[in-house]
Amino acid sequence: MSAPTELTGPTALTALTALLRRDQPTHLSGYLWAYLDGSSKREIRRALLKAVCVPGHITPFASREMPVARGWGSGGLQVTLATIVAEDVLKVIDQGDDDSLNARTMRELIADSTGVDTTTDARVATLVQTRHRIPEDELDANTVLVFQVPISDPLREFEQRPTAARQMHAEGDYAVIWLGLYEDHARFETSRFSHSYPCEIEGGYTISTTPIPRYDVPRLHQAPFLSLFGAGREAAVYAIPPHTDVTPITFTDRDFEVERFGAPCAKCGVTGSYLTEEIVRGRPALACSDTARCRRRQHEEVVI
Amino acid sequence: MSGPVLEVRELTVRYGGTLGCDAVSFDVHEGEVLGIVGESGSGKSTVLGCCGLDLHPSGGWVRLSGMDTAGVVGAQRRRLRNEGIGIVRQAAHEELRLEISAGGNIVERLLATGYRGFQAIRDRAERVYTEVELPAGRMDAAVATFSGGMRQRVQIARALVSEPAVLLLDEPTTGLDVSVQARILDLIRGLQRRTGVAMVVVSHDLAVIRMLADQLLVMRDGRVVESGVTDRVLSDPRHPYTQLLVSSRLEV
Ligand SMILES: Nc1ncnc2c1ncn2[C@@H]1O[C@H](COP(=O)(O)OP(=O)(O)O)[C@@H](O)[C@H]1O
Ligand SMILES: [Mg+2]
Repeated sequence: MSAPTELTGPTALTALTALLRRDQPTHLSGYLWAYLDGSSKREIRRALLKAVCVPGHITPFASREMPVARGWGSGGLQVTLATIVAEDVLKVIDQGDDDSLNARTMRELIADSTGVDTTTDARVATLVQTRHRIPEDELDANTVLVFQVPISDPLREFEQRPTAARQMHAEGDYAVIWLGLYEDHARFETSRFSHSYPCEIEGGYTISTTPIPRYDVPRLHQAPFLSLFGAGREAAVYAIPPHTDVTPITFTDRDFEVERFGAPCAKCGVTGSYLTEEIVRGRPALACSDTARCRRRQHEEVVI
Repeated sequence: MSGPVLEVRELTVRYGGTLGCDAVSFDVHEGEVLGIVGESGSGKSTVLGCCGLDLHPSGGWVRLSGMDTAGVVGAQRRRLRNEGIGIVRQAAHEELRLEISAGGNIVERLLATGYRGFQAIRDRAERVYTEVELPAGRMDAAVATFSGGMRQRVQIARALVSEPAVLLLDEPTTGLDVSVQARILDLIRGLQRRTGVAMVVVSHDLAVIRMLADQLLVMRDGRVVESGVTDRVLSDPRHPYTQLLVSSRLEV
């Protein structure tokens, strides 16, 4: 393992510049624009700039009290509020669903304090705040993804002392993660990570892709979009700039496997999407977790 | 003939006001076993801790395969420890992760030095696991389910898996049943002869020293009071303290 990578080339610079250019109004009809005061936003943006410069590096910031409980997306919310601009089109999902209570609460808070347009269509969104999923529609360089992170450090499971964990990151000492992987393969012949799969960023830091399923992990590799991760309770952010190598930790003679579902979606009939169990027409069935895309497909089918 | 695997010169460690060890010097060559004997608190573990890169000397130096270890820090120090040194401690839980399988404990140091092929490290773990005569079919069981004697065997396998230049043993059989102790000492002696690994064994127990060590240091209050070929020191002790030790009139 090598030393952490710094600036990863022109795309990281582009992402940096884009972040810097995200000028925000200060007020909206007498209230603070985007809820947070200017100094809070500057603090978060400074941490984000550092995080983009050192991809995968867990960067501390002064996490504020938010009108949502810590552990319920307060980190993602702060990142969104500090970066959002008036021209953004916002999409918020929880488990792939725009209509969950958590997603609705977040979306209303952000939209009410900024007046930005909201959408459920990932293809037109420019800012997507998410917990658990990456929208399955193709995303381009105009999109910024903000992840709500419950546990930021992939070493946490093995090393509870923060200073020791920091030292391990600094030295690229990820033997314990490999040890966990060895145990999984020795005992279960597969890896037990269903979400938050550890990934090496550009040959440097190892991050937790938290808490998205393995299915979404390949989407992060050389992605055209910028990914920002915010952990409110842990007061930390980290980032993956566009066009960055994101490599799942895997033995050379074992494949990284994503979830596969034998059946098509019970609602839209598509095969190969990420499915979750829900009640469809009174029966438990597997249906797309990306509800907006699923609904659009159902609609398209009717039209055809 | 190449130089010593382990060179220790004028090694001094101070813990605040307490002297851990004072001006200790010795060499260990490939194929050699050095014993260190002395009563509790005489500085044996302190000396071994410096050789194992757990401690930084206050004075003097430690060279491993000709390399001065003082300037080796951070990732390099970890690498040197994982590749160059094997350690077996009295308290297995200080060296092993009890909730992890025996195999996992054995391969951890390989993973730490960049081995990335699952089957290759698995095969290597199986080989040493068998070599230390652990029961077949238990390699994937958590070490927590292992007896004291078995845990020492796992430690030995873990220490030897990276084929280190030097093996350090700190009271490896202290606290075990006498019969278990004898079988583990047999195993250690057999493995040492087969691999020719340089070894330092620390014990307060002369029986352990007699069985394993070619050369012997006798320590008291952090200092070496007598040294020489083990047979000579034990059959013809010159320092009054060693004479006391050998005549068993001293409770160590
Ligand atoms: N971590 C420590 N802090 C303070 N004093 C220590 C520490 N470790 C050992 N000592 C002291 O150093 C001396 C040598 O101890 P040690 O090397 O453990 O001896 P031994 O292994 O022969 O029993 C003793 O006086 C002991 O109390
Ligand atoms: Mg001791």
